[in-house]
Amino acid sequence: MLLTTEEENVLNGNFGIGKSNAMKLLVSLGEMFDADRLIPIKRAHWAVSGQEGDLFFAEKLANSGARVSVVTTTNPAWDSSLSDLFHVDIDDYERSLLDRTIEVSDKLGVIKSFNCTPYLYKDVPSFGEHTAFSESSATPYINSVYGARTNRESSSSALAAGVIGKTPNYGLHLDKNRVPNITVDVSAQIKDDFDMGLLGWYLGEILKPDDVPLIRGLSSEMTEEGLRDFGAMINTSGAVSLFHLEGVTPEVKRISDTSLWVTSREKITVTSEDVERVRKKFTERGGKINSVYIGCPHSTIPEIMKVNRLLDGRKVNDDVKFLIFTSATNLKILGENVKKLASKGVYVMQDSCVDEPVFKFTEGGLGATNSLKAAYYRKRRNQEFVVTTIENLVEAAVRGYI
Amino acid sequence: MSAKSYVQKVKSACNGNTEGEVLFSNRSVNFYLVDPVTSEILEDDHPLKGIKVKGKALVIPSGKGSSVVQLDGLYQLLTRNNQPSMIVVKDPDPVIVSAAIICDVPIVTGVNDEFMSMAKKGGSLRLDCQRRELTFVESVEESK
Repeated sequence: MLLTTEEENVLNGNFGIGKSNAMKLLVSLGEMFDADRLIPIKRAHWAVSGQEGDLFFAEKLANSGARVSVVTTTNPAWDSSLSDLFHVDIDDYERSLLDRTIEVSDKLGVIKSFNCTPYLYKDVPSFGEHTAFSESSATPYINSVYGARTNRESSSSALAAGVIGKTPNYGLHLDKNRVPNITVDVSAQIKDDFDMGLLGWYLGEILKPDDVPLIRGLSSEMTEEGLRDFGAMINTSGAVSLFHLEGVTPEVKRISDTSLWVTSREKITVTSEDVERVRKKFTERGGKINSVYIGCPHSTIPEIMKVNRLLDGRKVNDDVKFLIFTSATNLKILGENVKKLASKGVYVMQDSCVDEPVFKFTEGGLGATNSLKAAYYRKRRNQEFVVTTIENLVEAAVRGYI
Repeated sequence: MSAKSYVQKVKSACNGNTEGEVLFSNRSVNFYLVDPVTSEILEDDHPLKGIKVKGKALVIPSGKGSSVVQLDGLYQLLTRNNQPSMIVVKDPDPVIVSAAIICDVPIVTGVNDEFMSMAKKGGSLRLDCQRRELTFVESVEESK
């Protein structure tokens, strides 16, 4: 990989050990993946996980003087006030991981957005823009829906890119790797955002890692929630960082004959039976529920207002904790509505991820969620979920069972 | 009869020479599902379930689609000095490569199918970090 004189100097420590440590990671990655050079970025998203491995690298950078040089947003952790609200015992180790996350974020100068959907409002790249975004829902969204360019970054490589303001030029930064290599014809009826999530999950299981599918047969009426969930699920059950939806996403819109664009003749068809099998697998359980989780990835304002509307004149069952995860920005904009929802038994929370220890009070019981991703991750925490639509979740929450 | 050895040029990220007995897996290894204390692979349906990775030259076909929790798993091994001596991955992805670099576990790629089929039979690997040379030594039993 070719480095400029200035980049060599950064690597050799002439601009401090912190920058040198970040540069070493980028250069090693570039060499492993045959990048020709580093390219400038204007923004990054750091999917900090609050795990020791992540913190080890971040603290190493921060303590050796590294600071981010471009806007770098962060993934959620958990809102520390929730442990009192829910009377949860947080042990010293769990608390220290949160404290270290906040402290290192301040040192590094990242934006503590604690939000996994930065691409919807606060860290939005434009068409063709090179970026370094980690986070499983963010990578496919900005690549596919905006036509921006990022690899499937690890949290560490995204942070290093944020420090240097550059990323190695390989993979999805190159035109040739953005061309679809497989056609997916959807004959299944996809009627709402929830179905988009089911379809994403199904395709993630079928497609190979790094496949770039051209998807045909979907309605061009797409919501940001449907696209968010499709990307989150395809990149959780599988590893797909870029998809093209005919009639919807920008890169495919420029192609007059898409059948000539795809690099192979490989084609799969998704039928209603395929999607129904996924639905059945995740929805067939039932029984008394102790919780409802909405907001993995983080909920939008229309989703939260929908819950408010559906609950009109009713309350959540006393045995059910109704949890909605969103950004601090959305919480602020929702204002009085948050109190209205609280009076109906709904907790709208900022800064938090479903996969955090502060929600341990629902572990061991049956929960309900609209997110296959939440169900997948919380399984490790000994919680099973029924996965269904927001409409069904509200009815189940009022009844106390599903 | 002495064991045969093969030298090849590779791409690697490393800070020094290293060697180890080959541990070949035809499936990727998720370090999050490796016991940090014993270094045994825990994944239920993994062909190497119960095998220890400590000190081994781990050879895997692909890091593609590897889980974002790779780094923490490898880090937990590192803090107990239970990490593999190197990771050779035929088809890498950024997540596994950055995890290895951060944990200072030498990572190697640029190997071909022929190497993979040799490594499958077992043996040992030596990495010359400076010269980017990987030497494969057949196991003695194999070469008799």
